[in-house]
Amino acid sequence: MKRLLTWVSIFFGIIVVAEPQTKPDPIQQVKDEIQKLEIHLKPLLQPLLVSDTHCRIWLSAQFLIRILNIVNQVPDGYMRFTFTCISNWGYLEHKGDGMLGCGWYLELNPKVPPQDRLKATLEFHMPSASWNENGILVLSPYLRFLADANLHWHIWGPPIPGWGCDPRRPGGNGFGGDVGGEAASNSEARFLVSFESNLSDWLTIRGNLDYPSKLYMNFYLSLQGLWPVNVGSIEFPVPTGEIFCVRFPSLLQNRGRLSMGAPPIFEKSYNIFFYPEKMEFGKTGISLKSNIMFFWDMK
Amino acid sequence: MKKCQILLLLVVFLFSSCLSIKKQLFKQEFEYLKSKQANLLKLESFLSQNPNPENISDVSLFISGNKIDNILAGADGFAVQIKEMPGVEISIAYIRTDFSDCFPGLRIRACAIKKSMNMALDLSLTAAIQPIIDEANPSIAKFGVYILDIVPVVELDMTKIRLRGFLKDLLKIKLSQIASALPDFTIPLSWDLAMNIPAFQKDISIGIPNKGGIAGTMKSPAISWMGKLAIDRIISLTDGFHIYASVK
Repeated sequence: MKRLLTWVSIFFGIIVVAEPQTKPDPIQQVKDEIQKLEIHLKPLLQPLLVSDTHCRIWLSAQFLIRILNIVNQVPDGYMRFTFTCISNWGYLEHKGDGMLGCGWYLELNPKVPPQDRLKATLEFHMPSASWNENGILVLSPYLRFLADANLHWHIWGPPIPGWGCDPRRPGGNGFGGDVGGEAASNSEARFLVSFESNLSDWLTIRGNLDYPSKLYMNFYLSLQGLWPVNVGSIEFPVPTGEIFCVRFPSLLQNRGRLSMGAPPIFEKSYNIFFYPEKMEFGKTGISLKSNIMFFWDMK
Repeated sequence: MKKCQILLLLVVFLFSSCLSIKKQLFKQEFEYLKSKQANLLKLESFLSQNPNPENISDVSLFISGNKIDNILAGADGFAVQIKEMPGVEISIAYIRTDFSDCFPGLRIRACAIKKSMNMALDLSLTAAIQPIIDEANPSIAKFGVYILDIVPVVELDMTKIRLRGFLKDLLKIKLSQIASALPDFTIPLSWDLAMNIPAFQKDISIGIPNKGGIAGTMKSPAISWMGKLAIDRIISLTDGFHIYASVK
């Protein structure tokens, strides 16, 4: 037993004595390498530093363009504005003399319900967008205008000597018929997109239609599709101004948890709110400098 | 003679266990430094190719160290019983950041109290936070904690003793074990993006000069979109965390 103890002691003694490191200190070596790396990295890291705010959120121009292209993600890629007639009055066109004697008129067919008299669709597709350093995103949407109308035309009877074109003259009512009218045109439109940030809405994107302000709808009458004659036109107003307004009241508004351990031995929930203070536009996108507020759950 | 041998054996065992602890600490520090070095190398290679990481991101978010401290302040005063040490309560006085390039530091002031012995161990810990991107849930930012150094002071009744050397190392090992048992110091950030274009409706009147007019309504349906931000990279600099994300 004594011997065993002695040998064990000697064995551990040798291990202990043999332990002291004669090798170079690897920790110091790694530390030196890290120091060199840090010196080399310094100029690369310097431009990334943010010194004038506690929170900066940056959104790339490409991302914003992608958001705006969401309007293209509706079925077949067109954002549609549909016009439905509620009521109408008077004529679309009328003439009182000329080759047709006492004249003629063209109107939206009163025999059909108002909603079927005139329908029009403005379709926008936004294939291109360009970023302006002043924070304006210019979109050049393609605009398609389609309209169809249910028309009624009427030609008064010819004038009668002594009666002239008095509607009470015999045969003065003349004759008329119903016909469909169609209009289709394509054009370039122009959208101006602007960005705002305020306390109630973290980010607001407004899209204003700048051009065109009107489109024309022409009505043609023809005999069995031959010799179509333009019998009138209307100026169809395009709703210029704000077409869309996208609000992100809760973008990056988080409900987070501070927890330690798995499974957590400590857990606390918080709400974090970003209050924008300043919006800056750059070549690559928008940066929002914000303040952050925390609210801890009381439970 | 026998007593001498037992004493020698005891000294040798103590010395070797002391060395074993040193070895363990050495391994721990070496691993940490290696991991820091690997991170710096990765960052250097990344920044050489992408001097401005925003060029390859959809969104970036910077949060200053000061604001991270606001989050961490939520743990101030938190006390917990440690399973491994029955009867001991660990109370956290504060956890604050100490940012440096690449590896953000953490200063922790805690107190281990053993009421039955009327003994308190005041602990000042220096730790490093390692941001972790969870690939299964890329919108959550996780932060691992690694203990770098510890200054323990025992308070026994009215006496204060500062622990050094072997005892300090022993404690450091123990705390590292505890810290590795609770490595996920998490600050989950779940970023859901929602965009809604409300339905458009406007009454329009089309006048036809000297002839008539048409009244109608212009309508456009609502458009909505949902997206989720996924964190691609977290860079910690002296000013705080820089988080780069893309929209999925």
